[in-house]
Amino acid sequence: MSVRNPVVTALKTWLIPRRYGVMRWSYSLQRISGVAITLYFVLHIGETANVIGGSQVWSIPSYEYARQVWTETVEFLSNPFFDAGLAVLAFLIFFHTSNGVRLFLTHFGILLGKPHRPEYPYHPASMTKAQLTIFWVSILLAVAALLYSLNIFFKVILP
Amino acid sequence: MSGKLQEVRLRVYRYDPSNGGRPRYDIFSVPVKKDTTVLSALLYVKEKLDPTLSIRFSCRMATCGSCGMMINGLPRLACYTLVSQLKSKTITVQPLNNFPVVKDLVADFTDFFGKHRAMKPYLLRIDTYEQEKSNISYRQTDEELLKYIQFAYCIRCGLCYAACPVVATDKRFPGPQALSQLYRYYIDSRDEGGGERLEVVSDSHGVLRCHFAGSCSQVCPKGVDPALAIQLLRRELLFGRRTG
Amino acid sequence: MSREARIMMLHYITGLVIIVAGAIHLATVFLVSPYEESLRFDNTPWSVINVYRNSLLAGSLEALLLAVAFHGFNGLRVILLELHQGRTWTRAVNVAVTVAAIAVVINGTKTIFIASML
Repeated sequence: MSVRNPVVTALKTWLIPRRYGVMRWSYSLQRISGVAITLYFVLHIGETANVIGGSQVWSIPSYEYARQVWTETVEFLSNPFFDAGLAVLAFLIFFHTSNGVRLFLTHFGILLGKPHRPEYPYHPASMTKAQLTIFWVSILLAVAALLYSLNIFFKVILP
Repeated sequence: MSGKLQEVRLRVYRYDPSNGGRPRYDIFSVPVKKDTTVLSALLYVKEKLDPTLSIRFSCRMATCGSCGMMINGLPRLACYTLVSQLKSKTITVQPLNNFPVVKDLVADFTDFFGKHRAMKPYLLRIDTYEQEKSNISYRQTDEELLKYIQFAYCIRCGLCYAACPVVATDKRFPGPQALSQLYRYYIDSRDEGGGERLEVVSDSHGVLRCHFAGSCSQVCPKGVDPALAIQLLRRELLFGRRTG
Repeated sequence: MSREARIMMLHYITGLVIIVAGAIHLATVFLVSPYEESLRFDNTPWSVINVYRNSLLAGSLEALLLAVAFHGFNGLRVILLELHQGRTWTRAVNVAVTVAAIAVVINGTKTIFIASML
Protein backbone atom coordinates (compact mmCIF):
# COMPACT_ATOMS: atom_id res chain seq x y z
CA MET A 1 0.00 0.00 0.00
CA SER A 2 1.27 3.44 -0.83
CA VAL A 3 2.74 5.33 2.10
CA ARG A 4 2.65 9.11 2.43
CA ASN A 5 4.78 11.30 4.69
CA PRO A 6 2.52 12.17 7.66
CA VAL A 7 3.92 15.67 8.10
CA VAL A 8 3.41 16.47 4.41
CA THR A 9 -0.16 15.13 4.62
CA ALA A 10 -0.78 17.21 7.74
CA LEU A 11 0.56 20.44 6.28
CA LYS A 12 -1.36 19.89 3.04
CA THR A 13 -4.68 19.30 4.79
CA TRP A 14 -4.18 22.07 7.33
CA LEU A 15 -2.82 24.77 5.07
CA ILE A 16 -4.63 24.16 1.76
CA PRO A 17 -8.37 24.61 2.34
CA ARG A 18 -9.28 24.62 -1.37
CA ARG A 19 -12.41 23.02 -2.81
CA TYR A 20 -14.34 22.35 0.38
CA GLY A 21 -16.03 25.72 0.85
CA VAL A 22 -15.95 28.59 3.30
CA MET A 23 -15.96 26.56 6.51
CA ARG A 24 -12.77 24.76 5.49
CA TRP A 25 -11.13 28.19 5.10
CA SER A 26 -12.31 29.13 8.56
CA TYR A 27 -10.80 25.88 9.89
CA SER A 28 -7.39 26.57 8.31
CA LEU A 29 -7.34 30.22 9.33
CA GLN A 30 -8.37 29.35 12.88
CA ARG A 31 -5.55 26.81 13.11
CA ILE A 32 -2.86 29.05 11.57
CA SER A 33 -3.90 32.06 13.66
CA GLY A 34 -4.00 29.97 16.84
CA VAL A 35 -0.44 28.76 16.39
CA ALA A 36 0.79 32.21 15.38
CA ILE A 37 -0.86 33.90 18.38
CA THR A 38 0.56 31.33 20.80
CA LEU A 39 4.06 31.90 19.40
CA TYR A 40 3.58 35.66 19.70
CA PHE A 41 2.26 35.23 23.25
CA VAL A 42 5.41 33.39 24.36
CA LEU A 43 7.64 36.04 22.78
CA HIS A 44 5.46 38.83 24.18
CA ILE A 45 5.82 37.51 27.74
CA GLY A 46 9.58 37.33 27.24
CA GLU A 47 9.67 40.82 25.81
CA THR A 48 7.47 42.47 28.47
CA ALA A 49 9.70 40.93 31.16
CA ASN A 50 12.04 43.79 30.22
CA VAL A 51 9.72 46.14 32.13
CA ILE A 52 11.44 44.80 35.26
CA GLY A 53 14.85 44.57 33.58
CA GLY A 54 14.52 41.16 31.88
CA SER A 55 13.44 37.52 32.43
CA GLN A 56 16.51 36.78 34.53
CA VAL A 57 15.57 39.37 37.19
CA TRP A 58 14.10 37.70 40.31
CA SER A 59 14.16 40.58 42.82
CA ILE A 60 12.90 44.16 42.71
CA PRO A 61 15.41 46.10 40.57
CA SER A 62 16.08 49.82 40.80
CA TYR A 63 13.55 52.05 39.04
CA GLU A 64 16.23 53.59 36.84
CA TYR A 65 17.62 50.22 35.72
CA ALA A 66 14.18 48.89 34.76
CA ARG A 67 13.38 52.13 32.98
CA GLN A 68 16.60 51.98 30.97
CA VAL A 69 16.14 48.32 29.88
CA TRP A 70 12.51 49.01 28.89
CA THR A 71 13.37 52.11 26.88
CA GLU A 72 16.11 50.23 25.01
CA THR A 73 13.65 47.39 24.28
CA VAL A 74 11.03 49.78 22.92
CA GLU A 75 13.63 51.45 20.70
CA PHE A 76 14.97 48.09 19.49
CA LEU A 77 11.47 46.82 18.62
CA SER A 78 10.19 49.96 16.90
CA ASN A 79 11.16 49.04 13.38
CA PRO A 80 8.89 48.60 10.34
CA PHE A 81 9.27 44.80 10.18
CA PHE A 82 8.12 44.33 13.76
CA ASP A 83 5.26 46.80 13.26
CA ALA A 84 4.14 44.98 10.10
CA GLY A 85 4.23 41.71 12.01
CA LEU A 86 2.06 43.23 14.74
CA ALA A 87 -0.44 44.43 12.14
CA VAL A 88 -0.73 40.90 10.68
CA LEU A 89 -1.09 39.64 14.24
CA ALA A 90 -3.93 42.08 14.86
CA PHE A 91 -5.71 40.51 11.85
CA LEU A 92 -5.15 36.99 13.19
CA ILE A 93 -6.20 37.85 16.76
CA PHE A 94 -9.46 39.47 15.74
CA PHE A 95 -10.28 36.69 13.30
CA HIS A 96 -9.49 33.97 15.83
CA THR A 97 -11.58 35.64 18.54
CA SER A 98 -14.65 36.36 16.44
CA ASN A 99 -14.61 33.04 14.60
CA GLY A 100 -13.92 31.39 17.94
CA VAL A 101 -17.23 32.72 19.21
CA ARG A 102 -18.93 30.99 16.28
CA LEU A 103 -17.18 27.72 17.07
CA PHE A 104 -17.98 28.12 20.77
CA LEU A 105 -21.68 28.47 19.96
CA THR A 106 -21.83 25.67 17.38
CA HIS A 107 -19.87 23.26 19.57
CA PHE A 108 -22.61 23.77 22.14
CA GLY A 109 -25.32 23.16 19.55
CA ILE A 110 -26.36 26.79 19.08
CA LEU A 111 -26.75 28.41 15.62
CA LEU A 112 -27.24 24.99 14.04
CA GLY A 113 -30.18 23.90 11.94
CA LYS A 114 -32.44 21.02 13.00
CA PRO A 115 -32.09 17.48 11.69
CA HIS A 116 -34.64 16.94 8.91
CA ARG A 117 -35.43 14.53 6.11
CA PRO A 118 -32.82 15.22 3.42
CA GLU A 119 -34.31 16.42 0.17
CA TYR A 120 -32.35 17.03 -3.00
CA PRO A 121 -30.60 19.45 -3.54
CA TYR A 122 -29.10 19.07 -0.10
CA HIS A 123 -28.25 22.07 2.07
CA PRO A 124 -26.40 21.05 5.22
CA ALA A 125 -28.34 22.31 8.24
CA SER A 126 -25.05 22.54 10.12
CA MET A 127 -24.14 25.54 7.97
CA THR A 128 -26.62 28.30 8.72
CA LYS A 129 -26.78 31.87 7.46
CA ALA A 130 -26.05 33.10 10.99
CA GLN A 131 -22.77 31.21 10.99
CA LEU A 132 -21.76 32.45 7.56
CA THR A 133 -22.53 35.96 8.76
CA ILE A 134 -20.30 35.55 11.81
CA PHE A 135 -17.52 34.19 9.58
CA TRP A 136 -17.65 37.20 7.25
CA VAL A 137 -17.97 39.58 10.20
CA SER A 138 -14.80 37.95 11.57
CA ILE A 139 -13.01 38.67 8.30
CA LEU A 140 -14.31 42.27 8.33
CA LEU A 141 -13.25 42.78 11.96
CA ALA A 142 -9.84 41.32 11.19
CA VAL A 143 -9.35 43.59 8.19
CA ALA A 144 -10.48 46.58 10.27
CA ALA A 145 -7.96 45.63 12.98
CA LEU A 146 -5.26 45.31 10.33
CA LEU A 147 -6.02 48.76 8.90
CA TYR A 148 -6.30 50.31 12.38
CA SER A 149 -2.91 49.00 13.47
CA LEU A 150 -1.27 49.88 10.14
CA ASN A 151 -2.56 53.39 10.69
CA ILE A 152 -1.16 53.49 14.22
CA PHE A 153 2.26 52.16 13.24
CA PHE A 154 2.76 53.81 9.85
CA LYS A 155 0.23 56.71 9.82
CA VAL A 156 -0.76 55.72 6.30
CA ILE A 157 -4.48 56.50 6.28
CA LEU A 158 -5.15 59.23 8.81
CA PRO A 159 -2.57 61.70 10.15
CA MET B 1 -31.05 13.28 -24.19
CA SER B 2 -28.38 11.69 -26.42
CA GLY B 3 -26.54 14.80 -27.61
CA LYS B 4 -23.40 14.65 -29.70
CA LEU B 5 -20.30 12.71 -28.71
CA GLN B 6 -17.41 14.60 -27.19
CA GLU B 7 -13.93 13.46 -26.25
CA VAL B 8 -12.76 13.89 -22.69
CA ARG B 9 -9.35 13.08 -21.22
CA LEU B 10 -9.51 10.77 -18.23
CA ARG B 11 -6.40 10.93 -16.03
CA VAL B 12 -6.55 7.81 -13.90
CA TYR B 13 -4.45 6.94 -10.85
CA ARG B 14 -2.85 3.54 -11.32
CA TYR B 15 -1.24 1.55 -8.55
CA ASP B 16 -0.42 -2.14 -8.50
CA PRO B 17 1.22 -3.50 -5.31
CA SER B 18 2.46 -6.62 -7.15
CA ASN B 19 4.13 -4.51 -9.79
CA GLY B 20 6.81 -2.59 -7.90
CA GLY B 21 4.19 -0.45 -6.18
CA ARG B 22 4.93 2.89 -7.83
CA PRO B 23 1.79 4.93 -8.41
CA ARG B 24 1.43 6.48 -11.85
CA TYR B 25 -1.23 8.21 -13.93
CA ASP B 26 -2.62 6.83 -17.18
CA ILE B 27 -4.41 9.07 -19.61
CA PHE B 28 -7.33 7.73 -21.64
CA SER B 29 -9.41 9.46 -24.25
CA VAL B 30 -13.07 8.63 -23.75
CA PRO B 31 -16.11 9.62 -25.85
CA VAL B 32 -18.84 11.05 -23.64
CA LYS B 33 -22.40 12.27 -24.05
CA LYS B 34 -24.27 14.84 -21.99
CA ASP B 35 -25.49 12.19 -19.56
CA THR B 36 -22.32 10.10 -19.25
CA THR B 37 -21.27 9.56 -15.66
CA VAL B 38 -17.66 9.28 -14.55
CA LEU B 39 -18.39 5.65 -13.66
CA SER B 40 -19.55 4.79 -17.19
CA ALA B 41 -16.50 6.58 -18.62
CA LEU B 42 -14.29 4.43 -16.38
CA LEU B 43 -16.20 1.30 -17.42
CA TYR B 44 -15.65 2.28 -21.07
CA VAL B 45 -11.91 2.35 -20.31
CA LYS B 46 -12.10 -1.05 -18.64
CA GLU B 47 -14.11 -2.61 -21.49
CA LYS B 48 -12.42 -1.06 -24.52
CA LEU B 49 -9.00 0.35 -23.55
CA ASP B 50 -7.43 -1.30 -20.51
CA PRO B 51 -9.05 -4.32 -18.84
CA THR B 52 -6.51 -4.25 -15.98
CA LEU B 53 -8.10 -1.13 -14.47
CA SER B 54 -9.55 -1.93 -11.04
CA ILE B 55 -12.66 -0.15 -9.85
CA ARG B 56 -15.36 -1.00 -7.36
CA PHE B 57 -19.00 -0.33 -8.18
CA SER B 58 -22.33 -2.00 -7.87
CA CYS B 59 -25.69 -0.26 -8.10
CA ARG B 60 -24.89 2.71 -10.41
CA MET B 61 -27.55 4.79 -8.61
CA ALA B 62 -25.93 6.21 -5.47
CA THR B 63 -27.46 3.61 -3.18
CA CYS B 64 -24.70 1.10 -2.51
CA GLY B 65 -21.82 3.52 -1.79
CA SER B 66 -19.15 1.46 -3.55
CA CYS B 67 -17.81 3.82 -6.20
CA GLY B 68 -16.54 6.70 -4.04
CA MET B 69 -13.35 8.26 -5.43
CA MET B 70 -11.55 11.58 -5.72
CA ILE B 71 -12.84 13.20 -8.89
CA ASN B 72 -11.03 16.42 -9.76
CA GLY B 73 -9.80 16.60 -6.18
CA LEU B 74 -13.14 16.18 -4.40
CA PRO B 75 -14.52 12.94 -2.98
CA ARG B 76 -17.60 12.02 -5.04
CA LEU B 77 -19.57 8.98 -6.12
CA ALA B 78 -18.49 8.13 -9.69
CA CYS B 79 -22.01 6.97 -10.58
CA TYR B 80 -23.52 10.19 -9.29
CA THR B 81 -21.14 12.60 -11.04
CA LEU B 82 -21.78 13.59 -14.64
CA VAL B 83 -18.77 14.26 -16.80
CA SER B 84 -20.56 17.34 -18.15
CA GLN B 85 -21.14 18.78 -14.67
CA LEU B 86 -17.38 18.86 -14.02
CA LYS B 87 -16.87 21.34 -16.88
CA SER B 88 -13.28 20.33 -17.54
CA LYS B 89 -11.54 18.73 -20.53
CA THR B 90 -9.32 16.59 -18.29
CA ILE B 91 -10.81 14.66 -15.42
CA THR B 92 -8.45 13.39 -12.74
CA VAL B 93 -9.62 10.27 -10.92
CA GLN B 94 -7.84 9.06 -7.77
CA PRO B 95 -8.69 6.64 -4.98
CA LEU B 96 -10.31 8.20 -1.89
CA ASN B 97 -8.03 10.27 0.36
CA ASN B 98 -7.38 9.03 3.91
CA PHE B 99 -7.81 5.39 2.83
CA PRO B 100 -4.99 2.93 2.07
CA VAL B 101 -5.05 1.91 -1.60
CA VAL B 102 -5.59 -1.74 -2.54
CA LYS B 103 -5.19 -1.33 -6.29
CA ASP B 104 -5.83 1.52 -8.74
CA LEU B 105 -9.07 3.20 -7.60
CA VAL B 106 -9.99 0.62 -4.98
CA ALA B 107 -9.54 1.82 -1.39
CA ASP B 108 -9.18 -0.37 1.68
CA PHE B 109 -12.21 0.12 3.95
CA THR B 110 -11.00 -2.12 6.82
CA ASP B 111 -10.26 0.73 9.27
CA PHE B 112 -13.36 2.62 8.19
CA PHE B 113 -15.74 -0.28 8.83
CA GLY B 114 -13.84 -1.17 12.00
CA LYS B 115 -14.52 2.30 13.38
CA HIS B 116 -18.15 2.06 12.34
CA ARG B 117 -18.43 -1.30 14.09
CA ALA B 118 -16.86 0.13 17.26
CA MET B 119 -19.84 2.50 17.55
CA LYS B 120 -22.21 -0.48 17.97
CA PRO B 121 -24.47 0.54 15.08
CA TYR B 122 -27.55 -1.28 16.34
CA LEU B 123 -30.19 -0.71 19.02
CA LEU B 124 -28.98 -1.46 22.52
CA ARG B 125 -31.64 -2.59 24.98
CA ILE B 126 -31.20 -3.33 28.64
CA ASP B 127 -33.60 -6.26 28.33
CA THR B 128 -32.13 -8.39 25.53
CA TYR B 129 -34.83 -11.04 25.91
CA GLU B 130 -37.44 -8.49 24.89
CA GLN B 131 -35.48 -7.77 21.68
CA GLU B 132 -35.40 -11.40 20.71
CA LYS B 133 -39.15 -11.85 21.23
CA SER B 134 -40.40 -11.09 17.76
CA ASN B 135 -43.93 -10.10 18.77
CA ILE B 136 -42.79 -6.86 20.36
CA SER B 137 -42.65 -3.65 18.35
CA TYR B 138 -41.19 -0.36 19.49
CA ARG B 139 -43.46 2.61 19.04
CA GLN B 140 -42.03 5.94 17.97
CA THR B 141 -43.57 9.34 17.33
CA ASP B 142 -42.83 11.46 14.26
CA GLU B 143 -40.81 13.90 16.37
CA GLU B 144 -38.67 11.09 17.75
CA LEU B 145 -38.12 9.78 14.23
CA LEU B 146 -37.08 13.21 12.93
CA LYS B 147 -34.29 13.40 15.48
CA TYR B 148 -32.27 10.68 13.77
CA ILE B 149 -33.82 9.85 10.39
CA GLN B 150 -31.47 12.20 8.50
CA PHE B 151 -28.42 10.38 9.83
CA ALA B 152 -29.94 6.99 9.03
CA TYR B 153 -29.66 7.82 5.31
CA CYS B 154 -25.90 7.07 5.47
CA ILE B 155 -24.73 4.60 2.81
CA ARG B 156 -21.19 4.18 4.23
CA CYS B 157 -19.54 5.34 1.02
CA GLY B 158 -16.61 6.93 2.88
CA LEU B 159 -16.75 10.31 1.11
CA CYS B 160 -16.97 12.23 4.40
CA TYR B 161 -14.10 10.17 5.78
CA ALA B 162 -12.01 11.15 2.74
CA ALA B 163 -12.91 14.84 3.10
CA CYS B 164 -12.25 15.15 6.84
CA PRO B 165 -9.05 17.08 7.70
CA VAL B 166 -8.85 15.43 11.12
CA VAL B 167 -9.00 11.88 9.75
CA ALA B 168 -6.17 12.82 7.37
CA THR B 169 -3.66 12.90 10.22
CA ASP B 170 -5.36 11.33 13.26
CA LYS B 171 -5.63 7.60 12.66
CA ARG B 172 -7.55 7.10 15.92
CA PHE B 173 -10.26 9.67 15.15
CA PRO B 174 -13.45 7.72 14.35
CA GLY B 175 -14.34 10.03 11.48
CA PRO B 176 -17.60 11.74 10.48
CA GLN B 177 -19.35 8.56 9.37
CA ALA B 178 -18.81 6.61 12.60
CA LEU B 179 -19.56 9.62 14.83
CA SER B 180 -22.78 10.51 13.02
CA GLN B 181 -23.90 6.88 13.23
CA LEU B 182 -23.12 6.90 16.95
CA TYR B 183 -25.36 9.94 17.35
CA ARG B 184 -28.03 8.34 15.18
CA TYR B 185 -28.32 5.45 17.67
CA TYR B 186 -27.69 7.55 20.76
CA ILE B 187 -30.61 9.86 20.04
CA ASP B 188 -32.96 7.07 18.88
CA SER B 189 -35.80 6.88 21.43
CA ARG B 190 -35.74 3.07 21.23
CA ASP B 191 -32.05 2.87 22.17
CA GLU B 192 -31.00 2.41 25.79
CA GLY B 193 -27.22 2.71 25.33
CA GLY B 194 -27.14 6.22 26.85
CA GLY B 195 -23.91 7.39 28.47
CA GLU B 196 -22.25 4.07 27.69
CA ARG B 197 -22.29 5.01 24.00
CA LEU B 198 -20.63 8.36 24.66
CA GLU B 199 -17.77 6.73 26.57
CA VAL B 200 -16.43 5.22 23.34
CA VAL B 201 -15.73 8.68 21.91
CA SER B 202 -14.97 10.72 25.04
CA ASP B 203 -11.17 10.31 24.95
CA SER B 204 -8.56 12.60 23.40
CA HIS B 205 -9.09 11.14 19.92
CA GLY B 206 -12.87 11.10 20.04
CA VAL B 207 -15.66 13.47 19.13
CA LEU B 208 -13.89 16.45 20.75
CA ARG B 209 -11.25 16.39 18.00
CA CYS B 210 -13.82 17.57 15.44
CA HIS B 211 -13.05 21.19 14.56
CA PHE B 212 -16.17 21.70 12.47
CA ALA B 213 -14.53 22.34 9.10
CA GLY B 214 -17.84 21.07 7.67
CA SER B 215 -16.16 19.31 4.73
CA CYS B 216 -18.00 16.06 5.51
CA SER B 217 -21.41 17.67 5.08
CA GLN B 218 -20.15 19.46 1.97
CA VAL B 219 -19.42 16.17 0.15
CA CYS B 220 -22.11 13.82 1.50
CA PRO B 221 -24.07 12.47 -1.50
CA LYS B 222 -27.14 11.65 0.61
CA GLY B 223 -27.56 14.90 2.56
CA VAL B 224 -26.76 13.20 5.86
CA ASP B 225 -24.93 16.23 7.31
CA PRO B 226 -22.47 14.39 9.59
CA ALA B 227 -21.11 17.71 10.91
CA LEU B 228 -24.52 18.47 12.45
CA ALA B 229 -24.68 15.06 14.13
CA ILE B 230 -21.16 15.52 15.51
CA GLN B 231 -21.89 18.96 16.99
CA LEU B 232 -25.06 17.59 18.62
CA LEU B 233 -23.09 14.59 19.88
CA ARG B 234 -20.45 16.89 21.37
CA ARG B 235 -23.17 18.85 23.17
CA GLU B 236 -24.43 15.60 24.66
CA LEU B 237 -20.89 14.74 25.82
CA LEU B 238 -20.34 18.20 27.37
CA PHE B 239 -23.78 18.74 28.92
CA GLY B 240 -25.79 15.59 28.48
CA ARG B 241 -26.29 12.41 30.43
CA ARG B 242 -23.39 11.46 32.67
CA THR B 243 -20.86 8.99 31.33
CA GLY B 244 -19.27 6.21 33.33
CA MET C 1 -17.56 14.11 32.06
CA SER C 2 -14.37 12.58 30.71
CA ARG C 3 -10.93 14.11 31.30
CA GLU C 4 -10.72 15.33 27.71
CA ALA C 5 -14.22 16.84 27.97
CA ARG C 6 -13.17 18.74 31.11
CA ILE C 7 -10.06 20.03 29.34
CA MET C 8 -12.13 21.23 26.38
CA MET C 9 -14.67 22.82 28.73
CA LEU C 10 -11.78 24.79 30.26
CA HIS C 11 -10.68 25.63 26.70
CA TYR C 12 -14.07 27.27 26.07
CA ILE C 13 -14.10 29.05 29.44
CA THR C 14 -10.57 30.42 29.01
CA GLY C 15 -11.63 31.57 25.54
CA LEU C 16 -14.38 33.67 27.11
CA VAL C 17 -11.97 35.00 29.76
CA ILE C 18 -9.57 36.04 26.99
CA ILE C 19 -12.30 38.01 25.21
CA VAL C 20 -12.92 40.12 28.35
CA ALA C 21 -9.35 40.39 29.68
CA GLY C 22 -7.94 40.81 26.16
CA ALA C 23 -10.38 43.64 25.48
CA ILE C 24 -9.26 45.38 28.69
CA HIS C 25 -5.61 44.89 27.71
CA LEU C 26 -6.08 46.26 24.19
CA ALA C 27 -8.17 49.15 25.52
CA THR C 28 -5.46 50.22 28.02
CA VAL C 29 -2.77 50.10 25.33
CA PHE C 30 -4.63 51.60 22.36
CA LEU C 31 -7.82 53.38 23.38
CA VAL C 32 -7.50 55.24 26.70
CA SER C 33 -4.19 56.77 25.66
CA PRO C 34 -2.27 56.86 22.35
CA TYR C 35 -0.07 53.83 21.62
CA GLU C 36 3.22 55.74 21.95
CA GLU C 37 2.22 57.10 25.36
CA SER C 38 1.26 53.61 26.58
CA LEU C 39 4.82 52.44 25.93
CA ARG C 40 6.37 55.18 28.09
CA PHE C 41 8.05 54.34 31.35
CA ASP C 42 7.28 57.42 33.46
CA ASN C 43 4.68 58.92 35.78
CA THR C 44 1.96 59.69 33.23
CA PRO C 45 -1.27 57.91 34.33
CA TRP C 46 -1.35 55.33 31.47
CA SER C 47 2.37 54.63 31.18
CA VAL C 48 3.37 50.96 31.12
CA ILE C 49 4.57 50.97 34.73
CA ASN C 50 1.46 52.68 36.05
CA VAL C 51 -0.72 50.05 34.39
CA TYR C 52 1.12 47.37 36.36
CA ARG C 53 0.78 49.45 39.54
CA ASN C 54 -3.02 49.53 39.15
CA SER C 55 -4.03 46.34 40.97
CA LEU C 56 -7.25 45.89 38.96
CA LEU C 57 -5.43 46.13 35.62
CA ALA C 58 -2.56 43.97 36.89
CA GLY C 59 -5.11 41.37 38.04
CA SER C 60 -6.75 41.41 34.63
CA LEU C 61 -3.34 40.98 33.00
CA GLU C 62 -2.69 37.97 35.24
CA ALA C 63 -6.07 36.49 34.26
CA LEU C 64 -5.19 37.06 30.60
CA LEU C 65 -1.81 35.42 31.10
CA LEU C 66 -3.28 32.30 32.70
CA ALA C 67 -6.12 32.04 30.19
CA VAL C 68 -3.96 32.48 27.07
CA ALA C 69 -1.34 30.10 28.44
CA PHE C 70 -3.97 27.38 28.91
CA HIS C 71 -5.93 28.11 25.73
CA GLY C 72 -2.88 28.44 23.49
CA PHE C 73 -0.90 25.50 24.77
CA ASN C 74 -3.97 23.28 24.86
CA GLY C 75 -4.54 24.23 21.23
CA LEU C 76 -0.94 23.27 20.43
CA ARG C 77 -1.43 19.98 22.29
CA VAL C 78 -4.53 19.19 20.22
CA ILE C 79 -2.70 19.94 16.98
CA LEU C 80 0.33 17.85 17.98
CA LEU C 81 -1.84 14.92 19.07
CA GLU C 82 -3.58 15.04 15.70
CA LEU C 83 -0.24 15.02 13.92
CA HIS C 84 0.88 11.67 15.26
CA GLN C 85 -0.57 8.95 17.51
CA GLY C 86 1.13 6.71 19.99
CA ARG C 87 1.77 6.32 23.71
CA THR C 88 5.26 7.84 23.84
CA TRP C 89 4.30 10.73 21.59
CA THR C 90 1.17 11.51 23.61
CA ARG C 91 3.12 11.49 26.86
CA ALA C 92 5.95 13.61 25.38
CA VAL C 93 3.48 16.16 23.99
CA ASN C 94 1.58 16.39 27.29
CA VAL C 95 4.78 16.90 29.31
CA ALA C 96 6.34 19.39 26.87
CA VAL C 97 3.17 21.46 26.61
CA THR C 98 2.63 21.53 30.38
CA VAL C 99 6.24 22.48 31.13
CA ALA C 100 6.24 25.23 28.48
CA ALA C 101 2.93 26.65 29.73
CA ILE C 102 4.09 26.66 33.37
CA ALA C 103 7.40 28.32 32.40
CA VAL C 104 5.59 31.09 30.54
CA VAL C 105 3.11 31.59 33.39
CA ILE C 106 5.91 31.82 35.98
CA ASN C 107 7.84 34.32 33.86
CA GLY C 108 4.75 36.46 33.23
CA THR C 109 3.48 36.31 36.81
CA LYS C 110 6.90 37.34 38.08
CA THR C 111 6.89 40.33 35.71
CA ILE C 112 3.43 41.44 36.82
CA PHE C 113 4.27 40.92 40.50
CA ILE C 114 7.60 42.77 40.50
CA ALA C 115 6.44 45.54 38.15
CA SER C 116 3.45 46.26 40.38
CA MET C 117 5.83 46.93 43.28
CA LEU C 118 8.35 48.92 41.24
